[in-house]
Amino acid sequence: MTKITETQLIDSLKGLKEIKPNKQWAVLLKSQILDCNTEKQVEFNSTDFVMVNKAGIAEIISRIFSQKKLAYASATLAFLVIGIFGFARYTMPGDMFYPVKRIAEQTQQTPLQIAYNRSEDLIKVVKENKTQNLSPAIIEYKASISDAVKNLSDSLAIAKEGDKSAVEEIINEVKKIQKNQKQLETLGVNIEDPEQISELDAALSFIVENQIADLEESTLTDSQQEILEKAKELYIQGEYSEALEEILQMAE
Amino acid sequence: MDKTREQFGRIYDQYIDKIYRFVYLKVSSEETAQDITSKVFIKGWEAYQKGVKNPGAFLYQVARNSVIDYYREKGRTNTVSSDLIDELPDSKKSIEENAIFAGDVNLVKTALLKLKKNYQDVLIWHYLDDMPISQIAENLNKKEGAVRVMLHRGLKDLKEIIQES
Repeated sequence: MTKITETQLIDSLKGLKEIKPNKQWAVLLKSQILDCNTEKQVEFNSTDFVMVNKAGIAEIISRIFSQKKLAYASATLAFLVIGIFGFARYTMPGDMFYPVKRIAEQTQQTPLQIAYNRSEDLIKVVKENKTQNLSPAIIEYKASISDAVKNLSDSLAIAKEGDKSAVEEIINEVKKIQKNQKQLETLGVNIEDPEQISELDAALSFIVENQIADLEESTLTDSQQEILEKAKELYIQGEYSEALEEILQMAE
Repeated sequence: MDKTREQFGRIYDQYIDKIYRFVYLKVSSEETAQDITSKVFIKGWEAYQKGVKNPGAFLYQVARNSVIDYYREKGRTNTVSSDLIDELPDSKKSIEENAIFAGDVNLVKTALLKLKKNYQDVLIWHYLDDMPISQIAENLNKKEGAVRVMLHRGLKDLKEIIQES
């Protein structure tokens, strides 16, 4: 196309209106967003799914639509949607229903939990030699780690305001991811540049460094000073999550 | 609560195609567009429950920011493989969908990606989403005259990019 008039250009631009999302995906997303806060809870287990409702699905839908046929059709659709969500739990990055799994995770899990799931996915893909899924699994893993890192400081700050278990949960999640990172290395998957510190470790070291600096400025008791020395030692050894664990214990 | 849900359901139906298309044209990957669009509507629903005044403008604003975050993140993580994937034909698209992307329309789509971000926004909103100039001006916090100038310059730059290709 060498010469083009403004009208032709606008027509071509309007041709882009044909870009539309996948209908199934759009319906599932809507259902996931609008249903996640309803009274009904959907519990998934490894083999199937169980719906826990205060009233039966058909009863609720009948009440809404007052028409049995429509109620049954809607109930079937609801089961179908839930079935797809159940099935999607076992998909890997690159699979057709994988976006459904991501939608479900985004509404129910923290970025750290999602990063752990991606590391588990990647390990599975490597172990089962699913070459088609490898590239998408690596991309998803890296993106999830970045997302988790981005939220790490905020999550810790919020958790510190709450109870001890919230902080412990975050540190446990970090440790689980680090464990999987080591497993991936032993499987020969080197995501990060071996010469550089991993993104997660870099974020943790930054947080620990700041915490140590703050504590060094504070007046500490002998036992607190001891914990701080231990934390500094762990920091030097590169054991950032352990160092953070020590520091946060001191803060209680 | 049911009424709020029903109202947001209607907003979702009204905007899902537009927001997805807006994001897709900027990231050029179906998977990434779905991911970003999901986050936009999750945030939209949260904001709507808190009483956001103009949900349409809010969704577009979140979409714009999310795309900026995506590119910022992509630049920082520098994932080679995702760059490659963006350039590969999308095997998940149906034959019909792939046909749509052929020819001139595909050329315009590619050229649009090379355009300045603000020009991309106004062209997509006005010509694809049929958004009136007054609304675009409100979204961008600019005067209507400035938006008209942006539309004119956007078209001119787009034309130049296409003719150079």
